[in-house]
Order: sequence, then structure tokens, then C-alpha cells
Amino acid sequence: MLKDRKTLKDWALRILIGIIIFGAGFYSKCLIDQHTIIKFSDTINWEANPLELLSLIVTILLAIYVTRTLGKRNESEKVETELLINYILGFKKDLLERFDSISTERNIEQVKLNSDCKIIRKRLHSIISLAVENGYVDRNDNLVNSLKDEVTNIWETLTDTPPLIDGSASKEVTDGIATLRADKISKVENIIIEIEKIVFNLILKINKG
Amino acid sequence: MEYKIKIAEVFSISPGSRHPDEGDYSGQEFREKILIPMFRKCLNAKQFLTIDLDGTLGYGTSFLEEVFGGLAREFTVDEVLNHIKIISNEEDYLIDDIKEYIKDAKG
Repeated sequence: MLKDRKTLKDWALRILIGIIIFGAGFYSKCLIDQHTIIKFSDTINWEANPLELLSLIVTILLAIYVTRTLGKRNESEKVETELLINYILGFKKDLLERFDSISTERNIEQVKLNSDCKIIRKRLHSIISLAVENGYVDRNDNLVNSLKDEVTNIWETLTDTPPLIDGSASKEVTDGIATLRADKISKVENIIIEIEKIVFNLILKINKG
Repeated sequence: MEYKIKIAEVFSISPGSRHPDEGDYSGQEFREKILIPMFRKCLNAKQFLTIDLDGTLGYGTSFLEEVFGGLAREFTVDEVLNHIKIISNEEDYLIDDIKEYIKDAKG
């Protein structure tokens, strides 16, 4: 009962607002008629030109198509692109975390390096597959090939290094390994800088579509 | 008879470096103790030897070069390429790397 009364009150309010808006519109029309050169017709023309009607229907359908279908598709593509870029940025972060610390580590554990390289290479190949499958880059794209080559360079540089284990070698050998190690670390650091540049360009390319 | 070696099962899940003096589970150790005896059997039987690389923590380039490049140096490049089949579902790109090591093997 109380609900019915509330609904009735709502309707009354709406009708009142409608009357006020109509009144305001009518008053505005009179004002415009009196004070400007614009004149409103007092009759409504109900004749319809079939061509205009068709044009109106097409416009309405186009509006629906653009807002619903194309809008959704654009949104979906945008989300897909963002996901892929986040995946690439995640790869770069992972790469930096795994290999940035090697210059400060006293001993390089071969097994850990092998494992890190396996994960990084696998992750990169997985990202590239996704990007290729979804049509963002070509399988033989220069940036893609450069990225693969640079990551393979890290793997080759690091996993060909003999482990440096305290007390296992004479001073001469240790000095030699230390120099070799420093060279390789420097090389890896340079490769990482190159990878950062390639990743930046790849993201730009993906964003441009 | 199928000749197959799964490195993670018959050798180690953490393959090491090139030579035994560089640490455990070296490529040389794997090649001499496991790969060469099995490969000889395959050659005699005129069969393929399937090597499964999956299941390990990862391979170093020196391990793979020592194993496969070393095998090609012990036998010939053609013998190795014609009698070895490599499985690597986890890292399919390793197959191309290994083929390069075999082709580039020098005595």
C-alpha cells in the first residue's frame, strides 16, 4: 500500500516536471518568435520521405554499431595490447633482477646461471609466440630477432664461464678467471642495455599497431 | 629396440659445465660415460639415438657443446646428424643450437 502511494507520488512528480518543461519550452518559443528573426512553424509536418527515413535508420544502426561493436572491439584490442606490453615489461624486470646482481656476486653458480638463462629464454620465446600469434609482430621481425640474439648472447657468455670457487685454483689461474669473469660481466651488462633499447622499440611498435 | 637417453633421469637434473674439473655433472663426463657407449650401440644396430633434454634445471652452452660437439669430434658430423634425434619440448630452440654445435665441431 505504502509502495503504491510512493509510485503514485513519483508519477505525479514526473508529470509536474513534464508540464513545467513543456511550459518553459513553449514560453521560450514565444520569446524567440517575438524577439528574433527565427520563426517556428505552428504545425508539425508528418510527411516522411522514404529516403530520409532510410537514412535515419542507417544512421541509428551505425550509431549502435560504432558504440557497441566497434567500441567493444577497440576496448578488447586495447586491453590485449596492454597485457602484452605488461608481459614484455615483466620479462625486462625479470631479466634485470636475475642478471644485474652477478657483478656483485663473489661466486657464480653454474647451475643457477643455467636455470636463470633457461627461464629467461623460455619466457622470451613465449612472449614472442604470443605477439606473433596475435599479429603484433612478424616472426622474422628485426626487433624480435635482435632480442632473441641478445638473450642467446647472455646465455652463451655466462654459461661458458668456468665457476669461480674459492681455493680451487692457483693464483695465476684465479687471476685469469677473475679477468675473464670481469670481461664477461661487462659484456653482459652491455647486452642488457641493448636489450632495454630493443624492448623500448618493440613496445613502441606494438603500441602503434 | 629403441635407444633413448633422458638426461634428467640417467645423468642429472642439474647438468654442469664442460670439464669435470669445473664442477659436477660435466658435459665430458656425460659424453664419455653415457653418450658414447650408447651411440656406438646405435651405430652398430643402425638405429637412431633419441636424446631427451627435458626435465633439467637448464643447460649451459659449454655442456651442450662438449656433449654434442665432442661427439661429432669423436665420430663424424654426418654420423651424429644422421643417428641422433633430439627432443626438447621445454626449450625447442636448443635443438637448433645443438645442430650448430655439431656442424661447427672441430677436431
